[in-house]
Amino acid sequence: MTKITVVKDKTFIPRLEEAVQKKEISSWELFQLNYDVQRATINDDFSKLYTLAYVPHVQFLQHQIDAAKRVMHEMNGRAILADEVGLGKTIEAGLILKEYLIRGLVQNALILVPASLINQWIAELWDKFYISAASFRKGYRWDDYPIYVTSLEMAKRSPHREQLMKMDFDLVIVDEAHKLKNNRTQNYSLVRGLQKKYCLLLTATPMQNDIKELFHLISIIKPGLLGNYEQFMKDRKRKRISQLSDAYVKRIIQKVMIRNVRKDTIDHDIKRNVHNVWLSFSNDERRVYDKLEAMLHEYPTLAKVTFLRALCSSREACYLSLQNSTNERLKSGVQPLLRAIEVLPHHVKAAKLVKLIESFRGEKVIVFTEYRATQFYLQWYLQQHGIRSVSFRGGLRRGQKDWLRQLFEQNVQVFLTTEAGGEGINLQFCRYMINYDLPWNPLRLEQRIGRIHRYGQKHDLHIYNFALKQTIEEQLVTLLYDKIAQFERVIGKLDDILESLHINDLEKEIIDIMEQSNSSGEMKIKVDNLFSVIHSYDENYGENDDA
Amino acid sequence: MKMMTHNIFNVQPFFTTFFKENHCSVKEDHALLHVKLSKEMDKALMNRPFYWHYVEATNQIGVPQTVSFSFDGQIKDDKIISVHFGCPWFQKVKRYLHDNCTMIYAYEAINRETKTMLQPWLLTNMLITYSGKNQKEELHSFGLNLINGTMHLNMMEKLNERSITTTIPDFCYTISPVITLQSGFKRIEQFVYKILTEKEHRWAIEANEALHEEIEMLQHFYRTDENDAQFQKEINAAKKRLLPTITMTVLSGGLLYLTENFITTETKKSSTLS
Repeated sequence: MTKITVVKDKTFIPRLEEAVQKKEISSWELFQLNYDVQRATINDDFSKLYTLAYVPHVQFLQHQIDAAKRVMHEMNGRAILADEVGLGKTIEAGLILKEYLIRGLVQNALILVPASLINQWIAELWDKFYISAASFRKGYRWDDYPIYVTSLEMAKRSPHREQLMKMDFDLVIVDEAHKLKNNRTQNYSLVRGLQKKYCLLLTATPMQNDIKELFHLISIIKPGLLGNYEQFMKDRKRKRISQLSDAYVKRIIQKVMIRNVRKDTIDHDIKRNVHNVWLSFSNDERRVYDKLEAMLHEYPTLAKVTFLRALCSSREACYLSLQNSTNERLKSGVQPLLRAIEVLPHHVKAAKLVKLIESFRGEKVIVFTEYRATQFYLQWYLQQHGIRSVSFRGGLRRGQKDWLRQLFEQNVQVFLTTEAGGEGINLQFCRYMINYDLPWNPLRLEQRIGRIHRYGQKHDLHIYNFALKQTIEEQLVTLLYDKIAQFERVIGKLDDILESLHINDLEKEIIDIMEQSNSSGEMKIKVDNLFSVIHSYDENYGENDDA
Repeated sequence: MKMMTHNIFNVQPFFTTFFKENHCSVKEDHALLHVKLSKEMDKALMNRPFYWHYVEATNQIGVPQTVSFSFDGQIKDDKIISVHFGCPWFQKVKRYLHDNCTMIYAYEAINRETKTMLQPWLLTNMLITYSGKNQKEELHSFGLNLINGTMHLNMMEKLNERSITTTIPDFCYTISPVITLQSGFKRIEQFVYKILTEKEHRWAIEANEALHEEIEMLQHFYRTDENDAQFQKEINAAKKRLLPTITMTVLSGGLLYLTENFITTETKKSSTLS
């Protein structure tokens, strides 16, 4: 017979005797009521997800329920949740936490998230799961509250680190867990060293560069699953396990990692309507653009592209980036042009923006721009037309971000944001998006759309991409965007391919190409080469992807 | 996803009974329940210790609050608390019962003109938790006659058919237990233990296998790693997670004095735990 530990209740009789003696006796009716509610809340099944009955106000998606069940029943509560952005990793983690709380398997938990997401986590845990979690503050002790949400930065600082190391956690959750990829960092040694029964690591990008990173993540979840480090590295050489697509590694990884991709989950229901809006410069703008282009002819491609793109965004953006240039020769050379830029009329894109927003009849819209200067200009320009907007950017404090998001949800039609502002904020109540400037990296466009195309979105999306004809923008579109479009719209797949090809940063590759090209013809050829490599990989290996 | 209908539990009568039995005045209006709280309930549930502290410090009477509950999820009114299974108010009431209504000392309420003897019974509502790779619970209600050792398995259900009172009825007298509470409880534990050893425990075998596998993996992983403290941490975590354990917890219970013929209609002992 197999060995089972049996724990008896040693307190019952003393408790009963004390209650009788002190006459702390229940009425029969309340005693019965207590029994009724006990019986109704018994978890009498090994595999049922009782949480669903406790939070009937939340509609979970099937992949979220499946993920929670797999983590608890197959992975014993230790897993990497690696869904693509917007599929609800937080919800999956919340489901698991709640179920463990209901079953009494978790009494205390530590949730480590980026500082900017602490409030959002706390709000979501309460709204969706009635889990009350505290944000760690000065003067608190780590055992004051059973559930804390805090940042890695806070947790690894002395004396918190030392105190946390002495704690015994039932569950540790780490959001944005790609911060743990390097095993020589403090982040890593902190999470690794915490005493924890269950552990969930959340990341949309479980592996960006090297299988080694995944090895380290797995060593937190299940040390030894991939063998020890030496042996793993030896195997890796012998079997050339360098790619996630390696069937052997993949099989093992599936024991600890869940990855849902958008194409398998919510995409079927919500349609993305992408509208490319082609515009032409006015004559005045055209003249300045051509002059600028001619003048920049002798400079490196990258500089040229940078300033021309700025002019495609706004006078302000171009003016400022020329002024801030560190190249003195260039700076003095453009002086006459600066004056011409100053007197330009309103930007053709800005005028179009106003028209478009007006046609939405009050529907909320997110506008992305690449430049802070353009953002200021647009806010003022929209204001002139009676359109209220909030300006969002990176570097804002948590409270400010929450406040702006709320303003947008409740009072203001337009959410003006720069790229950095788009991270970690959920705007799924909005279904219109305008890309006033297109980003370098077409993949970033996907991340932008991910802000609204995520769990909770109920309507079809409308995405407008602005581009100016016969400018650098048109080149960008034909050079990059059209190529990307040949792949599936689902970027997750492209991510996987780039990962396998060790292309960590598509943006950097493209900038490198620009820097090293002498003409736009050369640039085009190089970019074509890059994409044909990606393409052939897709044809050869893409099919095995689901193995 | 549609909500699962496992826990069919009607929250409205649960709340109504709870507040009535706690001496609050209660008014039902279809799916609404208006409750004028008693002072004790206000203190226990409304979370305003400063108010009551102030009231008592200044020798005032204090006004308990009135709360309204809605049970069908239809009403969107700030003043009405929408209640459903598992919501914070549900948990609050459940916790109150758990903290305050777990011990009983009562008598069978009978109406007799002649002297009647009541026998002592130990009531034990026991939660049995099985945990290994996964976890499940069972709730059993045992009754043990403290005179002759008769055991009954569905004691609460049986008691629910009778009327029970916390004051001793007229013409009734109790006899002292022959079996002490301590040894009575031991008999119940032994009974549970015996049943448990007769059952097959597939879940425990699986858990032990998984635990072995993990420990082997850890030993392998740390063979070249000198970090012994970390190794011990991982071993502890694996055991906490997987070591097959059965826990007996008494959720509620007490001492009851019942008439001699309490179980005559029932077969005395059934030997299976459902």
